[in-house]
Amino acid sequence: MTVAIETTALSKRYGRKLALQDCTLDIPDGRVVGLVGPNGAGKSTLLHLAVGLLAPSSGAISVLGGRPGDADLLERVGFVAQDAPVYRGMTVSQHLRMGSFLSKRWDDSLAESRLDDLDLDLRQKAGSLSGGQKAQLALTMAIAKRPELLLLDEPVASLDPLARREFLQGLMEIVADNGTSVVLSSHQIGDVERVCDYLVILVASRVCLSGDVTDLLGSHHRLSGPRRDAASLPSDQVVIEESHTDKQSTFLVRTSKPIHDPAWTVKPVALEDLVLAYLAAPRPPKRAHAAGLRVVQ
Amino acid sequence: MTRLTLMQFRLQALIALGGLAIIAVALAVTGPNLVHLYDTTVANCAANHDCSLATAALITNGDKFSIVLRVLVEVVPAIIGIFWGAPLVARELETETFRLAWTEVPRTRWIRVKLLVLTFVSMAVVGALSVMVTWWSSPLDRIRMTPFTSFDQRGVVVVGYAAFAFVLGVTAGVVTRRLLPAMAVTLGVFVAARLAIAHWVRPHLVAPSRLVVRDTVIATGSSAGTPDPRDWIISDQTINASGRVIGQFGSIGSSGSTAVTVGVHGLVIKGAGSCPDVHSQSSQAVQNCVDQLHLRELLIYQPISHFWELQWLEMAIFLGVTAILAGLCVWWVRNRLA
Repeated sequence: MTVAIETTALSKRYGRKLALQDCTLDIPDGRVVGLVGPNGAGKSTLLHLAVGLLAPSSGAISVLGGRPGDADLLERVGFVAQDAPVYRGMTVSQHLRMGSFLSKRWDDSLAESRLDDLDLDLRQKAGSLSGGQKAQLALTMAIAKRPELLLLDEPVASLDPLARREFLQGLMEIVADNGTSVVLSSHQIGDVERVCDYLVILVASRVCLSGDVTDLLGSHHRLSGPRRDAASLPSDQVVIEESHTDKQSTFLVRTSKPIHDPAWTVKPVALEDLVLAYLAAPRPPKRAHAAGLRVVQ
Repeated sequence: MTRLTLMQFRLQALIALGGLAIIAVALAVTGPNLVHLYDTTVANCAANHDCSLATAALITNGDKFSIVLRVLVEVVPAIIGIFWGAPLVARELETETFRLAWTEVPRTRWIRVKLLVLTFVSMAVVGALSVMVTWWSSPLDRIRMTPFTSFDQRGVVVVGYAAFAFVLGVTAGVVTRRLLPAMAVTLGVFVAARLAIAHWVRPHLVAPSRLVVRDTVIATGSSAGTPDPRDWIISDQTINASGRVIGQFGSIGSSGSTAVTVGVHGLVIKGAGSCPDVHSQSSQAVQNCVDQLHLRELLIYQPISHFWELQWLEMAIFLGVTAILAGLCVWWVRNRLA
């Protein structure tokens, strides 16, 4: 497994405020990675660190084996910032020329055919584009560099549902065509579920879970049965969420082992519920690594 | 990166070229007229013995426009600092487009190229303006004989002001991160720096010359002056027989003016002494007394021969400060904006 982003005890602070805390992560190459978490959890900070816009306060980060912000690495990484900033006074075609000036690997025909498909007028000023068009322009600039890794910060947050679907479809086509690795941040779990096969959950400036989506779904179960205490569960089952009525208990647990207790009704967990359970947990549950996924404290 | 810089600067460059073109046309239309006037009146006025009339006519003719040009040359560097320099980084930060630019190209290269290319463009624009204005004003400059009064609108210093103003604007934008404060800081610091250098540094950039002459300023109000009327007199002190400085520019004492009174003890020049045998206040009499008291003027001045040395040195100062600011800019962009 080659690594797209590798961080070791990475922290970023602004004055006294910790934006990212002690983050240790291995994000594998060749995946579409969803970075989820509430607003202010540190998603943008992590992406900005990965693309060299921010420098770490402590710890280390490497991207595609290189140092973020280095010239040759910038060539290999495409980035679309939140709200897809573009130069208001420059036309769409001037943006493409900007890309061709700055990137040695720039693919002009790719950029133009993509904008052609999107019905974007090359002569239009970027300031008069809609949010969706801006996002598409920024994405086009990022992929026309033919990057090995594409980093997208809340790419669809400001888009209407239709534009959102178009954007994500375009993204999936790029991944299918080029095998580009993608890391995208979002607080829309539905979008992440649609396109991502790997998940990183950030809560309160910490990474609390990361892993392959299939593995995550396979190792989390919803148990319901007669009322009992969380402490009475086997030690390999980590309780993420629990709720109780007078007679009945429901647990969301993570375990690498099959559940044999006949008292339980075992149901699979939807990804959205799983994510919400982690976001709602008062503190990231502390336990050792489960198979195929990583729990980071 | 150079191509991007030029592409993004296209609008400003067009405005600047348009402005220069308009000024060039205006100067080209009025300039030859002024030269013609000079050639027909002032050039041969000595033969007709009416030089004061001829020069006065020429100065009146060129005056209004020459004031406009004077203001233009003084103001354009500040405008460059405010409208080209300050937005360069501040607007990228405010509109967040730096996240686009600095993930396409390393930010240190971005800022270096932008600074280098646009500083040269600023210098070229102001240089061209200065050359045009200098050419247009040459008949007036020849009869005014006071090149030091237009020192900061002629020659090479203006190019230094332009470079300084531009990089100062960029630096203000980098440090404040906001466009409007950056513009205000640019204007304030530019004006302060220009005034400070002109008043406190320029007179001493080259060791000034000294000359002691018979004092005529108390009696007649005008000094015998320096060998060349184009010299820049920095100070004109009155000294007494023992060489002590007792006044400035013909005024003696703290009141700021020279009190000359006639009384029973004769003519008294307050603060300098009295002449018992002089009993009149006519300028001839006062001059007699001044000579009796052996009052002299100590002139400290920059001779006209220092003009270009002063120009190059002042430009070097501004370019030196520009280089320091540019270094600060690059450092700040690399280390403080991350």
